[in-house]
Amino acid sequence: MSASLAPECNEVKEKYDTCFLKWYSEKYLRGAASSENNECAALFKNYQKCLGVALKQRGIDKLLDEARDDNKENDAVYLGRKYVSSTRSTRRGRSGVCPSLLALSVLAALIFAFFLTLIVMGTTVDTVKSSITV
Amino acid sequence: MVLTHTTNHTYTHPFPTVTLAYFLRYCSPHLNPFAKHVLSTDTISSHIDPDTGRLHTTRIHLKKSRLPPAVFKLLPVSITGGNEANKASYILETSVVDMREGWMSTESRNLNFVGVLSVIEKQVYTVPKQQETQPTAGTTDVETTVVFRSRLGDKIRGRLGAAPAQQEDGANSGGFFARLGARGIQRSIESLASSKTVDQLGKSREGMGIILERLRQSGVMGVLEVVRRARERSVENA
Repeated sequence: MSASLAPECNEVKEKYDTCFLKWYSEKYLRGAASSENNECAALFKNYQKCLGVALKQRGIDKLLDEARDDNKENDAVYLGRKYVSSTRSTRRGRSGVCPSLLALSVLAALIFAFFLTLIVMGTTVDTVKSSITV
Repeated sequence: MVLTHTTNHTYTHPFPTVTLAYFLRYCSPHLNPFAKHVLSTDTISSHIDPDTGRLHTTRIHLKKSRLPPAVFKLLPVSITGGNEANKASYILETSVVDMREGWMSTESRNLNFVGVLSVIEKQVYTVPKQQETQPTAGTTDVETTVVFRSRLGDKIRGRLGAAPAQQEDGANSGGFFARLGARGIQRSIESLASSKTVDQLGKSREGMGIILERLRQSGVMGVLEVVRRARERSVENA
């Protein structure tokens, strides 16, 4: 069995894993499992007692909470959008693609305007020069 | 920004065996040579829903980092959290098995580095339609969807609630070059990670294949015996 993230829990983890796999293949997969009568429950409790401490020490309990919050956030974003209406289903891409497209087109417009000014200025200078020479 | 990758595969093994192989896949490097990057596996919850009879399981895996090295080079140490030795990531795996209806649905996501890159892999294992009458014979279909999302430079926390509106505000603040740069990096991280994951999906499939073959040859108790012997040997050597 692969190791536990906390080496001190390896022994209890292994007992539980072996029990679980046996139960899963012999009972659950054959439709003979019930939700109450689980022979691995006691082993699982021991294992969790050990693992809970390790998860706290390593700050993984906090990571788990964050992952749960993130889920809520994603649901709020994507489910919320789905409900808006199907005609706006492209919104997901819009927030990403449009700002950069917008920036590019503004940039292109600026460059264009710059050259336009140059040309206009160039021609005025030319006309002024030619008027002077004349 | 989001990048999605979907693949389909059919295992030539019956559905119950495939679900068992799923739980066994990180069991031991002796069993699955493609699981050497998995450092540990822990179950944090497991219960049967009394109404539906579905088995819900949550596990945490510690894997050597799945962030490709190129991504690490791209980022400052303050974000990646340091050197090679630290490059391990916690993966949260949730799965639901419904033996009566013949499907298993799984989801894996990384717990750290989510600000740099979040990878969510979803798999749905099903008994093909024409075999529903005898689920113990035949094949199993699996659809894998991986979603890559980099939120580097985005405000992640504290915008629960009116999220869509605020997100667009956030995207429009700051100069465009800053924004363009952040988007560009996000996109490169996503595509780098995506091409690496496509390789890895092949390996994970091969790993499942090896376990399935072992299960076919010697059954679950045989497999557990192999694992037990391998462990005893490693204890003796140590």
